[in-house]
Amino acid sequence: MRVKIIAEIEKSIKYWKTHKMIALVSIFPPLLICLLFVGVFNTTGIVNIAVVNNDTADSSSAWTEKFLDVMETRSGTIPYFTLDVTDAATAEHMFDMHETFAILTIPEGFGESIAEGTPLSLSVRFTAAHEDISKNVRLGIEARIYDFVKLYDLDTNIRPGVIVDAALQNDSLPRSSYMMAGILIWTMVFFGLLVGGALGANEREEGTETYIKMAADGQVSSLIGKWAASILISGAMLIVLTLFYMLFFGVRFPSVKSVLYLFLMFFILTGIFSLPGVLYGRKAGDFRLVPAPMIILSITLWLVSGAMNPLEFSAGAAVFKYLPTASGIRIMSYALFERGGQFVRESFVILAVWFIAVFALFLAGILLQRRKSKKCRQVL
Amino acid sequence: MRKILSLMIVDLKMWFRQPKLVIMSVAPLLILSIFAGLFLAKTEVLPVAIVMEDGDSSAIELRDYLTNLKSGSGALWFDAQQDDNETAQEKFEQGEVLGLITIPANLSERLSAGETVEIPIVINNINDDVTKNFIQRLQNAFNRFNDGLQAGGTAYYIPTVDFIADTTPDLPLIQYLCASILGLAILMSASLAITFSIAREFEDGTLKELVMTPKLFNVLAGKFLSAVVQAFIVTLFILLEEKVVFGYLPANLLSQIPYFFWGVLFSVGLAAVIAAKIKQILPAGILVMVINIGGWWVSGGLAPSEAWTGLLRRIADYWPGTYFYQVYINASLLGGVSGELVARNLVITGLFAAVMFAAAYAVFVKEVREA
Repeated sequence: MRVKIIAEIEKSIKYWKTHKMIALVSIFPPLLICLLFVGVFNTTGIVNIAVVNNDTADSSSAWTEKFLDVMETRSGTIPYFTLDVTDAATAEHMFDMHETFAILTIPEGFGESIAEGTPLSLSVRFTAAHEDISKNVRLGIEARIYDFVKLYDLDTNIRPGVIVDAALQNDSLPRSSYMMAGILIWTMVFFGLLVGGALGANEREEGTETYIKMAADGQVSSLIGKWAASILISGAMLIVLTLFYMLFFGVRFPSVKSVLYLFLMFFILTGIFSLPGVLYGRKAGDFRLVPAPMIILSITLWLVSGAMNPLEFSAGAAVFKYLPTASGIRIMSYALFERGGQFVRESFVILAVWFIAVFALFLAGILLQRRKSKKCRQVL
Repeated sequence: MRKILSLMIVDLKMWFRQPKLVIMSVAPLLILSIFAGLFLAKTEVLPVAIVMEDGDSSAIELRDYLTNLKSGSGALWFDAQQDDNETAQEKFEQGEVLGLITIPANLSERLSAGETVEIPIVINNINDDVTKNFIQRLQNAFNRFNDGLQAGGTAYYIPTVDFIADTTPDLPLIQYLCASILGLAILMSASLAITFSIAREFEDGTLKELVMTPKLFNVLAGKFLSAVVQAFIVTLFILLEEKVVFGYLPANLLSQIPYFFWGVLFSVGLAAVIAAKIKQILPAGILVMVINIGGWWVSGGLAPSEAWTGLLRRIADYWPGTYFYQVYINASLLGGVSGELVARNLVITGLFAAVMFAAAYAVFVKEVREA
């Protein structure tokens, strides 16, 4: 049986080498996911707004200019604003043509009113069709007003008020970088399912399924061989993609331990998911039926496992935390960024249970199959 | 006309008889809709523990500001829990809350004396986005609290803003996602329908017979009408699903009809080119699906493409689908958009559609002759 398994592994690797299109199809979705998901969260820090400044009198404009300077600062929290100072008609046109998200109108005498200590109200017309954008406009402008008040103390140098004295428990970590832990885990799951599916389907595609069935223990050794080959091929592809992520999406492994975590997660998760991949591929018997369901399944698991935001603050966390993908993301986040150390032990336990369960089911399946074929032989 | 209609009916019958194709048309949209609605549309309500060092009236006022602060759409900014110091610390260490705010003692007294009081906040910086939200929401609350404070008989004001939105209250994210997914339903169902219809003829080898008909136009028109009906059924189904699950309905239902035809005309040309080139239902269907979903994402599926910067923005600017989604989503949510925007985007997408129709016809005829 060992010889058969090794032969199956060699055959599967050869199959993969000769079917380069399948390898390309496997690598394309992770790249697209990175571009779409990570790219989106990487690029939304700057918002342009049109400014209609009606406060241009010399006596008043000094404070107004200071206010506009603060509005344009590139420090503090995002969004940063790019100001298009223009007249009311142009601003209105820009707003109608979706060239700006908001129009900030500064009333006449605004600067003077600040100097006197009774500031006039500003007005901001904005689009409220998208909650994140309207939130960013509202909170972003409020944040700049806060900065303005803090910087200039308005008409006195001592004024009563409360200010934020923030201390961060962890280092800075952009959300797009944070998401890369999830992307790594998704890649492992996706490869396990897709490569397993491709190898599972190839016997029927190439018309060799009957030979496998005819050989003694042929199906079992073929399954084990394909399972092992899926893990090996996925591993090679993961190395290539991880290098790509490091080069283009800023993934960094802070220590040797974090690399070991990566390999461990790969072994567990790809091990878990490549088995159903092979089984599905065998059932489908056609590679064209493999990618779409595997993409849908893996992305679904990834999304509900805390792909975008920490799982504990996502909907359904109480249930989804038991998914192997959720545990993988938590462990990988800890390995890469030292976030969520309190969930690591629990996550390892969950992963171990899944891994053992998959193996147990697999062994039970083999035993049942053997008993069945033994009975068949006895009947014959 | 009768021939066109009979070809359309034959095509529709084929579609209904193949559940695999119906599933391919509906399932991705349904999955996207459900998952985007359930997992992406949730406003981040930040869990925070508040420790009050005493029961001072200003401290209570500040705590209430933090507890009751809401977004423009009415969602609470903070899930604030008042705790003693030890419990709050424990919750913070366990990751049950993201932040720990301590309101110091004697706040009223210190403010009356004209003092600027620092409010210590420890934030579990899970990522910068969460921290940004945390700090901005606090600053928002503090602005409101600080406005009009009195010290030594003088009231101190800070600039305030009248926010005037184009719709009130601010629309929750789920509305935007529903509108964008309905736009995707129009484009994707129409393009998948035409893809299946053309690729199936190649796969079944029935093209020669079709081409022998005196007017090829009749064949293509029949397929186009069939695609329109299929797209209408799928779009209607997704609309009903969004109404039932998320309570979403476009602002002006009647205006959906011209947008539907706009979307269908815009999307079928490219799909026909792909189908005629690939000639197999599954690979062509998957490619069309990937292009549609990728295009939806870049064009403003999750957020308006105007919000992107860098490479993604450039891709969005050059992808004509952006101009359909821009008008469709905003018109569906706000009831209408400016005529100038509609005209400009109609010209851009119309030009793309015309080029694609011409290309589809040329490719189709060429591939049929070679088949």
